Amino acid sequence: MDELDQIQKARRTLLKLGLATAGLLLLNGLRRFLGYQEPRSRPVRAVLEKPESYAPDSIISVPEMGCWLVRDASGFYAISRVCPHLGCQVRMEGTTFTCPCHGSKFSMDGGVVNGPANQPLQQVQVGQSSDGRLVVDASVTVAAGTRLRL
Amino acid sequence: MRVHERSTHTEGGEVRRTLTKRPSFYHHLHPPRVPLREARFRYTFGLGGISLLMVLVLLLTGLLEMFYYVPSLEEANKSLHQITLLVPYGSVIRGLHYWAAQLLVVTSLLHLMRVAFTGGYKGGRRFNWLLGLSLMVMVLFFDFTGYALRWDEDIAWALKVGTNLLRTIPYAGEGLYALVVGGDEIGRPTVVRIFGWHVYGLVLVAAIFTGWHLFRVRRDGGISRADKKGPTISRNELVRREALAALMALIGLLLLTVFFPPSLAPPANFDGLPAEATAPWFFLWIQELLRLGPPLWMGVIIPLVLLVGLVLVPYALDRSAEGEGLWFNRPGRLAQIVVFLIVAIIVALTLVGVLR
Repeated sequence: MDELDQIQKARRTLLKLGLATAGLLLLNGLRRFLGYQEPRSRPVRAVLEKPESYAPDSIISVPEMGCWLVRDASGFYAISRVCPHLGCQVRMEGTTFTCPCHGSKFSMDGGVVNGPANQPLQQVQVGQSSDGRLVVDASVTVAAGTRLRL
Repeated sequence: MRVHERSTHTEGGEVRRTLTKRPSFYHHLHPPRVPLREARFRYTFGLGGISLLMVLVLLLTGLLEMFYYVPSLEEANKSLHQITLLVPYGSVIRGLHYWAAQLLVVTSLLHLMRVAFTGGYKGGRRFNWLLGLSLMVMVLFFDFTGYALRWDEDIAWALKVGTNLLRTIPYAGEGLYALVVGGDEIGRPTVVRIFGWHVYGLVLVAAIFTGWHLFRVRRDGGISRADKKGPTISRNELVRREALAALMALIGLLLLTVFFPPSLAPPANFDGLPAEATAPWFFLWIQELLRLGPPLWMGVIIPLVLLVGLVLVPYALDRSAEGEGLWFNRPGRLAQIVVFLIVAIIVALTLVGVLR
């Protein structure tokens, strides 16, 4: 009888182990099913005109990249219009960027003037293509103060 | 099970403390003992239980599909392609959903026949027969709306014919059509409404009716039985048998899913319908009927007459209380013949449609 008990005990343990493993595999399958994400198709970068086309001290909106291209005395830079507070789109008012949602204000170079935001507007990458045109890539952020000098 | 202490004060002034056990929800699902004879596979074939299992599979797989299915004209077919081809195990979930739905039609019908042939509708169980019939009708609508949600070439004809059939109904026809289609022709609101019916409207009604149907089984005295005093098996033994049957049914479902995955055609174009008109297999019998005469009669009235024939089984065709629990019992002979004829007509029409 004792031997039979042991066999039965071993059998039950094996079955429980098997069931637990199956359960974990099933949960993992469920995790993979629910975790699928569609690849996003957004424009990667915007190719603009040659730098000579832009007058000094001009601000050009690049809506498809969600930013402005600014040319000042020190060169070109692109400033994101996403407010670092809670993601609203800032507007340009004179020489400041203001956020309509909670009133944050930023200077031309993105620095915080006032408002609930405590981080500056991000700068995104401005480069040049092989034929000399300006290329803005909003997926790459660069340090504040970066300029494309010509 | 929770154990509670209870104090009872006797007449002599003593206080007697007893421990009572409070039953859990599990204990409410089945009576403590069920008749052995009727618990045998060859009595019920487990058809009601298998149908319930199919419903549970459908609820779960349907919920998972809802994470990805988009009920819009442009996205419906595309999102189903995504589920089938891109989402990990998406084809398995969709296949299980499809096969559980098809099997549910078959097991529900066989369950209906089993109940009819064993007199399980007699006496107090008459009302439950009606509940079951309602569920059978709902199953067909579930299958049709689910089929339509593919929004591919294969369903285009079925949807057009099905919705136009509603229009033939006098007085209520145009209103019903507008309710289902959401306009004067199939378009953007249609897919949203069909999705709403399939995923919520029908589910709500079916959930109520299913719960009621199961409750009535218990209240009417459990499984219909021939001998009120016979050997019994325990609740736990019944659950063991049910678990085994469920396991086998699930394996069958998985095999069907793996070896016979459901098809998916390119998106439907209602301006340029394909050459061949196809109805889903469970409505082939109606399509065959529609070839024979005016649509209101063939597509609406005759199916309703067949339904009324089934409704009348315990109210007009067999009102006796004897013969319950016996296959092909004598008192129910007329009811059995009528049920057999109705099913035979539907099956014969379906076969004609298949062979065409």
